[in-house]
Amino acid sequence: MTYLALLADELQQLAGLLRASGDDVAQASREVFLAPADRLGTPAVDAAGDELVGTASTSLGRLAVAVDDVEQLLGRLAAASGDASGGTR
Amino acid sequence: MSEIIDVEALLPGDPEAAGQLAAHLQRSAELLRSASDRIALLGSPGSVWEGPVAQSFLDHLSDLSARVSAIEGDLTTAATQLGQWRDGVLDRQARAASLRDELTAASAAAATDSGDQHAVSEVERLQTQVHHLHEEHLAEADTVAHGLRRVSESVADPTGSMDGTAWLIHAETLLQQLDDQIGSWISSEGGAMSDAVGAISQSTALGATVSQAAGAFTPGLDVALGAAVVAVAAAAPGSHRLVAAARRATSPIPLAALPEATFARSSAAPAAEHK
Repeated sequence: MTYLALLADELQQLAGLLRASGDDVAQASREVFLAPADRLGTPAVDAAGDELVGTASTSLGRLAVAVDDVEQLLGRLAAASGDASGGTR
Repeated sequence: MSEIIDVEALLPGDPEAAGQLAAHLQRSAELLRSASDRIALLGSPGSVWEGPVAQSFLDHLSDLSARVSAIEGDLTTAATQLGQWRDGVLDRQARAASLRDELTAASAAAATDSGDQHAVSEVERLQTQVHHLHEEHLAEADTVAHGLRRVSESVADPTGSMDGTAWLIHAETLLQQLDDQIGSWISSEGGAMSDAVGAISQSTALGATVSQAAGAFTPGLDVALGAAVVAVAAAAPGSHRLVAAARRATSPIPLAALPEATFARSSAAPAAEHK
């Protein structure tokens, strides 16, 4: 196995490890999305709670996508490394 | 003011609902902490991937971990604020219920004897306490609402998702450079290196890697040649793993003898400078 082939293999492993983090972030987003945000208190408190849930679930959703993007990028780089290793041999 | 107090109307808020939201936020924060720790670990020195190609990726991972960690902190803050609000609502509603009972009794006494100034004063005193309790509740509500809005502002991501495209372009460029360099390096030094590495490390991945890359394998060369080959390997960017394996196999090779390019974190020079 060439160095680049090893690198490709390691990148795939890294992508797999990162996937677990992405799953955690996605689950965190769902936790917030499912949270009740009414009857908390006065209308001002309810509005602030509702805003927080909306903002947090949106941001966490984007963050989950960002982590997923990195995982996908690693996959692409791993594929590129695999291709390059074939050319080196 | 009516002597009959509607506690829920006076002090709006469902402690259970506030507690549930706090619990959801806390669970979310715990998941984010786990994710942040894991991402940070992946990007830490000595983790899965090292070398010049990895550096920009590791920087991106570091940013990502910091962002996840920041939101985790924000949600923990919000959960704490909501927990305190829930406890405060419980306390004030209990005090309101007690005041309601006292006021009902005092009002009944005042109604029985309209000349009983003590009973009338007691009613007025209790009504004042109810009023203060209401004001306290509104002030606490404003405080927690303000706190939650601040958390929302902090959690909001005005830049959208974190874009890793720049990193990928950089990494692919470095990868191509690495490929070119390794290709030419193997062409010029691969045969001798394969022989030497085979001699010093027949059972290691290093031996397999270099031998297969060079397309040759000849065991039996001495350790001195192995050390020389390690120096050749160290000159190629991204070869730190080969060198690390060789160092394990041919102990001792002093770290100072290895070019800085071998270890990405100890060298600020990008791979292109070693072409």
